[in-house]
Amino acid sequence: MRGMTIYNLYIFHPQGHCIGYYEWHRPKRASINPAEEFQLVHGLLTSVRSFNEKLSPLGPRQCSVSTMKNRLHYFETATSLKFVMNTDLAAFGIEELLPKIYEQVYVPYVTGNPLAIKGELIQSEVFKQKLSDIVQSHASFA
Amino acid sequence: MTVYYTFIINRAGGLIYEYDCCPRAPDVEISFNYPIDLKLEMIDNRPTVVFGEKNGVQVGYVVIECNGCPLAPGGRIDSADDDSLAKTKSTKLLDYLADEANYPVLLKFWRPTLSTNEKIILSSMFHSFYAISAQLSPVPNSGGIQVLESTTYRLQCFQALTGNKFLAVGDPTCPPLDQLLHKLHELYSDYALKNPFYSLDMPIRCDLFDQAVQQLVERFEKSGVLLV
Repeated sequence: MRGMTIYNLYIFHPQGHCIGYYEWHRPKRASINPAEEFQLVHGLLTSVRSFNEKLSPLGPRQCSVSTMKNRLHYFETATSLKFVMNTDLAAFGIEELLPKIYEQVYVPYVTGNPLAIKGELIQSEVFKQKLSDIVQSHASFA
Repeated sequence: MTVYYTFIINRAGGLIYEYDCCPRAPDVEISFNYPIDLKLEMIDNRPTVVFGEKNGVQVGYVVIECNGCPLAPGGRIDSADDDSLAKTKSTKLLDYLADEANYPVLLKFWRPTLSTNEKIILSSMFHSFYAISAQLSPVPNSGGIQVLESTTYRLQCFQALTGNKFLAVGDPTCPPLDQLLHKLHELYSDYALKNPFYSLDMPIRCDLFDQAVQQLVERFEKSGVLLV
């Protein structure tokens, strides 16, 4: 088993469908098809958020969910765009990486792209390239 | 170093025990002039703030008193009509606040705490999270949720081999709650399972168990480390 690493990233539109999925390491694949998996992840996030709101009215923009072997990091922008990243437990600095992905990769290359249609799957090759660059240059990626 | 809640959830996701020592936020009383600068709506039959902040009152706070009188269930104001003391007029708070003649008005706000039903709902939700996160994990054999962290609390879960889950919710600065959870499991074995009147997977109603859990949490909050 390898050490620190970043497994995958989901990007969800405010309305709940997945507009981007990117994968770097994934030893285990879900038994369901990708479309159902995205719905399941989004359902989990929505429930976790309402769970948070009940336990504490001051709802945070960021939270993380850990299992024995991986951690799911969740970042939501004020416009309800959701970034979800799975990493190894030892990974650090992901709380700063997700906002960085939003500010330095998503905003210039998706929002700033007049050809990108809002709410649809991100088709831009430049976005994908820039995203891989920023993730693979992170200290927790190995 | 505060522990807010501890829960025990059975194999089916039902809440069988909960210990609540969450510190209560103080009530806030504010005098308002027309128009009121907080937006209120009826949510779950309670007048709740949905927009705006003032003097510590935030989204999610509930109005409980108006001009010193507690609100009736459903967010209504009971007031004696001038004609007769026996006759009572009932006005909805939101209608009352829409009338400029009623100002200035004194409102008391309360930050809602979890009711028993809400705790049961949260436990069932967590049961689902646990299973789904195991299924969605990109690594094999990762199990379910162990830690759920946010800026305001940290939740830790220990699932015994029998399938019972022991949860603790604490301050984000709390030391790891593993020891507390394992001790809780030990107390569960001693006071619940050895109780001949206890039915498996049913709510635990045992005074000795309550006392033991209370002492355990107090010891944990004092030192953060539990010795034998």
